[in-house]
Amino acid sequence: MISRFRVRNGSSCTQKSEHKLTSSLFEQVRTIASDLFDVAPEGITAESSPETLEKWDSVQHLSLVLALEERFHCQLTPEEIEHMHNIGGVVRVLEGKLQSASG
Amino acid sequence: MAIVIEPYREEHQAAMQEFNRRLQAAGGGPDLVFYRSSQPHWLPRAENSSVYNEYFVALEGVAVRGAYALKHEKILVGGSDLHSVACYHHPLSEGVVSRSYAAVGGLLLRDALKRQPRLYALGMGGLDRPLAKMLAAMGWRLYLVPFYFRVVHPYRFLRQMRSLREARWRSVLMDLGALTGVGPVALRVLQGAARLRSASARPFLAEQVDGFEGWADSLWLAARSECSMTPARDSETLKMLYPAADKHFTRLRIKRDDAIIGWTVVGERRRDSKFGDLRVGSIIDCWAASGDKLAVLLAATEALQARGMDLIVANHSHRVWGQAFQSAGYFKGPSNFVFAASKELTELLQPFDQNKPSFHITRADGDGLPRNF
Repeated sequence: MISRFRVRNGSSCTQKSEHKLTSSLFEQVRTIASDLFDVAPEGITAESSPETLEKWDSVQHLSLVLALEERFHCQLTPEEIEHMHNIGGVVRVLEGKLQSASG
Repeated sequence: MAIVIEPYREEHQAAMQEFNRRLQAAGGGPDLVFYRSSQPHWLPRAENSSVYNEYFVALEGVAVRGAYALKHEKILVGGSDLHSVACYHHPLSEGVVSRSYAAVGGLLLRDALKRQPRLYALGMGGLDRPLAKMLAAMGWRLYLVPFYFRVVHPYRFLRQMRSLREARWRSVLMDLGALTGVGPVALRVLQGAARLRSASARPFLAEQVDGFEGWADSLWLAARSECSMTPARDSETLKMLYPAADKHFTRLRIKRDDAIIGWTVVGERRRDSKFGDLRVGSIIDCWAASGDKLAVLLAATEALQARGMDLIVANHSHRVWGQAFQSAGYFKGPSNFVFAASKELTELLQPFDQNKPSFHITRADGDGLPRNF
C-alpha cells in the first residue's frame, strides 16, 4: 500500500543510521505519549496501546495524531493512522514516512 | 483490515443493526445508535433541496465500525452572502465498544472535513464531552450558546429539581435562593417583576398557521441584516424544517396592526429523565426584527403556558434576542449547548468574537429537531 502524505517544512530528522533513527524516534514518540496519556516515560513501551493505557481514548488518539503531525511536519493518511495500534506501530509508521522523505 | 468510509447504503443496514447492538451492549444510552435506515427520514435529499442529510459509514470489510451524518445547508454571512456549510452530527465509533478502534472517531471527523471543510457541530452536552474535546483538539472554535428558562409552575419545578439533584439545576436553584425554602415565592416575585416590564410591550395578535409562505420571506429579508451569521430562514427552508404534516410543532405568526411582525415555532420536548415528571416546552425557533422580538417571545410563552407546560426553555445565541428573553421574564441559566465551528468556517465568520453575539443559532439548528421533539 502506498501512503500518500505531504511534507510541509522538510523532515525534522537528519541522516542517521537506521538503529539510531529508530531509537531516537522511539524516544520522541514516548515523550509525546507520556505527556498526552499522563504516564511516566518509563511506563510507555512499544506494546503500550489504547487497551493498556487508561487515558488513550478516541479523543487522545486524535490528539496524538495531531501532535505527531506537528512534531514531525507531516500529514498522516487514514491508512497510516489505522496502523497506529500501539506505540510500536506509531514508530513504524513514522519511520517509513521519514525515511521516504529523506531518501 | 483497513477502515473505509463511504456513503451509507441499503446493503449496510444489517451490519449497522449489529453495530448498534454492540453499542447498546457496551452500555450506551438509548441515543447511542445510528440511523437504521440508510435513507434519511428527516431532511432527505430531493431535487433542489437546500437542506438535506447524508449518512456515511466506516467499514472494516463488511462490518460497520463507525458512522456519521452531515446536514447540508446554507448560511447567510454579513447579511448578504450565502455559503454552503454542513452540520456534523451523530458521529459514533466502535471505539465506544473496544479501544482497539480508538482511531475511528478521528478518521470520521477527518473524512467529514474532506467532504465539507466548513463544518459546525451543535449541542454535544457540554464542553467536557468527548466530541467537544475532539473538536477543540482539531482547532475548532467552541462556545456555549446562552440558555434561557421560565418556570411556569414553581412548586412542581422546585420539587422535581430538588429530587433530581442535577448539578446544573442545583446551581440555578442556589442562585434563586430556593434552598432557603422560600423558592416558590422568590420565583413568582422575580418572574412577576419581569412580567411587569413585559406588560409595556405593545399589543400583538398571535395566530397558529400550518406552514410558512411568502410572508415569511418578507420577514427573512427584513431582519437578516441584524445577524452576522444565520442559517437560512426563508419560507422554502422553513417548509423543510417544519413540514406541515409534522404535528410536534406549533407554528405561530405574530401580527401588530395587521402587519406581520414575526413568527415562532414552539413544541413540547420529549420526556427526559433529567426533568423528572415536568412537562417542558421549548421555544424552538423565532424570527423578527429588533423592535418586535419581545412580542414574538411573549406569544410563544403564552402558547406554551396554555398547553400546560411546567417549564419553558430555549437556547439563543443572538444578544438582542437574549435581552428580549429576559424582558419576557426568562432567567439565563448555565448552558451546555455548544456551538463549534471548523477552522474554515471560523475563518468565514471572522472577526469571530466580535460577530458571535449576533449569530442566530437556536434549537432548530444542528440535529435537535427530530432528537428532542
